[in-house]
Amino acid sequence: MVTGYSSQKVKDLTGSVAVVNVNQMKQQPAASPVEALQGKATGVQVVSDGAPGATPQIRIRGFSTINNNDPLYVVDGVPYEGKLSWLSSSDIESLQVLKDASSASIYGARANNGVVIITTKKGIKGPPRVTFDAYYGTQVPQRNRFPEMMNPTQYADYLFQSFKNAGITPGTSETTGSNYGTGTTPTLPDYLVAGSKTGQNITAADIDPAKYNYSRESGTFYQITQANKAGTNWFKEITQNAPIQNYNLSVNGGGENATYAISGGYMGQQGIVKHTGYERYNVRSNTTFNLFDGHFRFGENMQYSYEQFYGVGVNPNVSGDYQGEGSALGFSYRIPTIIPVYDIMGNFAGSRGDKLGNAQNPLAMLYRAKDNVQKRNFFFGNVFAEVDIIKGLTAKTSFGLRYENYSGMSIGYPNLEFSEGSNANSLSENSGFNKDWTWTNTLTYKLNRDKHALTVLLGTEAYDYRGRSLTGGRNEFFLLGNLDYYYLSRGSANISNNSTGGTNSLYSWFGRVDYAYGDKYLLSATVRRDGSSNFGPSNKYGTFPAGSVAWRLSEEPFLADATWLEDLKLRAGYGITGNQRIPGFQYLQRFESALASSAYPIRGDVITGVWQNAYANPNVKWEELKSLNVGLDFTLAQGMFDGAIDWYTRKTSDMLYPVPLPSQASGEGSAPFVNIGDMQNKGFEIGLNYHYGTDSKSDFGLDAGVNFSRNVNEVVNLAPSVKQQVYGNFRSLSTTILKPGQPFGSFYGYKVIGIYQDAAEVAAGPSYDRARVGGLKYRDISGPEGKPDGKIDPNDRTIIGNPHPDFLYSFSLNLRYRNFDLSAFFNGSQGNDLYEATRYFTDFSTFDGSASTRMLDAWSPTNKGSKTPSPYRGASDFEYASSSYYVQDGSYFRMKNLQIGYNFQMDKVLGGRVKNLRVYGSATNLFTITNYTGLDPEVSQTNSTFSALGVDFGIYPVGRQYLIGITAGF
Amino acid sequence: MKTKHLFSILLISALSGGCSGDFLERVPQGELVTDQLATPEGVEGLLVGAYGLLNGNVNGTWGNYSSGPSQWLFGEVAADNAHKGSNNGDQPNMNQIELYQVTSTNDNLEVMWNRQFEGIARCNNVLRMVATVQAGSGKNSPMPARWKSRAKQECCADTITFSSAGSLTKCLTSMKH
Repeated sequence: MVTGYSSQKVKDLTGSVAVVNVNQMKQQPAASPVEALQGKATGVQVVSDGAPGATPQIRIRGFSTINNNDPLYVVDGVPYEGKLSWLSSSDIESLQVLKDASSASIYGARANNGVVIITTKKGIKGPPRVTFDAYYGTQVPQRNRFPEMMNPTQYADYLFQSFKNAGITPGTSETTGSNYGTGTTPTLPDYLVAGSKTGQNITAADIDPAKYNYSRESGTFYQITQANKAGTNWFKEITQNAPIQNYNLSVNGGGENATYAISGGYMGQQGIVKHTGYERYNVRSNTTFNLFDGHFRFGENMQYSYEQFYGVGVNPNVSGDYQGEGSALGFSYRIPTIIPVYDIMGNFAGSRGDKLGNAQNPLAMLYRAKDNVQKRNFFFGNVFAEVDIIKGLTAKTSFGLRYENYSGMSIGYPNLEFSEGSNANSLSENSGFNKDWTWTNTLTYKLNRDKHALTVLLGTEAYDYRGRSLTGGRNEFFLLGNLDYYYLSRGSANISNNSTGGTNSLYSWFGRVDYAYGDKYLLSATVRRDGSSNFGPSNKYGTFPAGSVAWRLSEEPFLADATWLEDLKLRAGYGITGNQRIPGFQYLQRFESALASSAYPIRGDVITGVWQNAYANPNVKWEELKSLNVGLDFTLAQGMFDGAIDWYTRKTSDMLYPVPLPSQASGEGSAPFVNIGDMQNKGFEIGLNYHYGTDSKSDFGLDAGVNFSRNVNEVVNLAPSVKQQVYGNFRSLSTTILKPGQPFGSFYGYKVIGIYQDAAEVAAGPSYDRARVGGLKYRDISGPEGKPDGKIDPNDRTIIGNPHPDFLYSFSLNLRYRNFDLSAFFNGSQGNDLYEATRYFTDFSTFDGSASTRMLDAWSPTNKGSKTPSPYRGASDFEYASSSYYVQDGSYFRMKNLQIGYNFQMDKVLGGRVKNLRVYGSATNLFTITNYTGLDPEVSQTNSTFSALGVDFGIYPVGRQYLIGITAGF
Repeated sequence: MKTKHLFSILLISALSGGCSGDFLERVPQGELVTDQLATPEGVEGLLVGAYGLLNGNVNGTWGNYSSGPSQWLFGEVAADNAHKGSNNGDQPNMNQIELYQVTSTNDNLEVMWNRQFEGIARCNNVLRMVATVQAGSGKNSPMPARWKSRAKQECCADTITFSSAGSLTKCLTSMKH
């Protein structure tokens, strides 16, 4: 088992390391191998994203920092940061998660958020063994979770009521427009738009199909759209059942002095949101060679994969990046249900018409983006050489390389059926490369004498990154929709081009000592000194020490007689790790010359000047995390029970984040990252396993496991100049606050205490400007002096929710009976809040659009018990400002995976040529129990300078998967 | 035996550093640092950049609402010469301006003040760079004195045109140098 540049036996670990059962992990189909890590290790929270090839969000022991919380991956000894979808799970031999500083600090500078160590399959001596793995299945959207929107009749009533409640007469052209008639109760139109006529103003002559012209010119565009009186279920229209498949062939073997492991595979996953998908081809070769009687060993591990991501929301780099009101899912919440998908001639219909809002037709958007593709060629590998200098002393060198070449294109089409549409058509292309190499040199000395076992490791590591990317775009192509025609040189307008790049480097020295006495007393100490190009001359280097001890109580005389006890180990560790993942050059004042930002016309020519776009903090330095971990590992009753309990505390100090400077200091330039603020995470983890019938002789075997993790996060303090920071801006909402004494990502807004029941209650106060009967009533928390002041204003905003779970839990069950096997896996999260930002569109009369069926139970004088505000056109801004109305309980319990398999006895079949054959069927995400009203309770954080956690703008939902698979060995 | 020792020596020497201090020194890509602008060309570039903000718009279209010569929001809409338009729920912060019910969280206020201070920041950068170039004018071609006073006058004058008293004070102060 590999930890920190060397190997250790699992039972000798002194730090907190979760060894993941890779076979159990592989049972869950996913493009990215770490997706299946969910629930398999205590202290690891994985938030899935339903998009094909997506990056799941992984957090080890909570959120350690304000900036990047992703862990470091080490694949065959080469560190890697980023998305792991290029690695096929079939290639993984073992996976460990280093959770505490004493195990992770050997990786020093990049280990604040934990380290995931992945080792790929290596060759084993013997004749070639061929394995073929395949599965095929279908993903089904969880249709029972689709939000319910009002049908056109209900919406028309709701709309009229919103005007009446505001004292405005509906049915006029300024209020409800031409769609619903001129009376006091609404009637539905037959047609929404016919040319320039709308709604109930359309006459029979207008809908003459001969007039129809879906032209590319807005002047001649004449669309005829029928109203869909039954109501369009947009969520149903944009989703589909989608296939998923994976094939892998590997051959593994070796001789006396060489071993090899070669594999190749294909994975294809279409998205449950239409016109999205992912494909991957990969090939791998791992070899080792021995020379000079085995004193000199060398070899390589390398792989190449080609990935293709197409459609909307399938972003190659960052989870959650596609979210927002302008995404296909966001539009599905906003577009009126009276609009059909297609018009009378089968072209896309849209919000063109009268007072139909400004949402795009989401299916049109997905369809037009179906050819938008991002391709990625990914090469990752290392070559290494090891020599035994004298007995016990080994020197090793390893050179790892990541070379990634990507390209993509994105095509824009006219969308004149959209109320804010245009007839512009465009093409934009991008391509670039990312290259980084890591060169590690280590010297290891092992000494075993009597009961003493000592290992000393010294090493250096250098890392260099370079990247560059180019984009270009043009508008106005003669031919639309023809992929053979789309080259930038064929566009005739809006010529634009851009290129950008980056570079950074790291250099480190490290040392480690492991000492064990009689397998009873274990000690480990590491120190690492890292330098990063991200910091200036004053703070370039950081030193990260760690130490841990362990005591194997079960070897002690006083416990030697306890037959019920196999192994009992108490361990404690303390260490410091660092973080330097910020944009580079924060220590320098930077200026740029940009046409869009600093140009001025002089004598008829536009001259581009220079402006300061980034300010400097010359003293920017390493962020540090100090962590203490105490744990107990035990194995009882001849291996029937085993488990681990850990308690930890982690304190991050000098967090790197860009404190917004006051305008006088920086104007529009970006503020530099500064080291301010402390964050703390405390918690404990319990993992318990039960095994029965583990020897292969018995017919029946059972393995059951339970994992429980609790983490409490708190922002301890911020800079003296920053008392708090409100962020997470979405329209007029600011959802989140960064405040000392509160968890990171706390939701912020007004606290709803009820609905104003009558005019007297509004007048009695405390209330806000233009408060009204049937509107939300807020708690008066404070005024400028900090005491309730009888009126509601921005001082009355408070903490309204916590996106972190109280605890995470999972259960796993593996049964074996003769040749059958069954495994079931459940996981859940309890106590996390979610901010359902989509309610901004569905629960308030903010935009012409759509409304949730929740509003059918809205407050009215005859329905005074309701907690939902009544429809009211032109309500005060305070009503849809950020408040606890948006905050929902996001706890869930999910049956994550169920698999049933059968092992065929192959010795008598086919002359023994097939060594083993297993067939299985599995189902993923079978059921979810939750009270959350949104699409899916797993909401990745959006990508912004400060991460707004748990805010749902319309996420790509996770579907159910049903598949059958086969594994054959030859 | 000998080959083995050779290998070991090579590896140990590879271990012992192989890295010069330059390895960790990198240069911003596509961006300029202060030293690269300490020339007359740099000063002129910064001056053009300062003029470039006269339209109140740094990048994109957002700044056009709440700053800039048209002053649509704070000028025309507040004066009832223009309506904000669209739906009630669209841009509620603009509703506040139109209704004279502005709260401290109104983002248009932040944008307007930000633009003004950015204008002053750009002028100050020009003045700072002029001083730097003049101080080190042995190396580069000397900057004409008239450039310096012209920069101050024009810069200050234009700043006064579209901003408030605060910036005027700052501008006048810098003129003393």
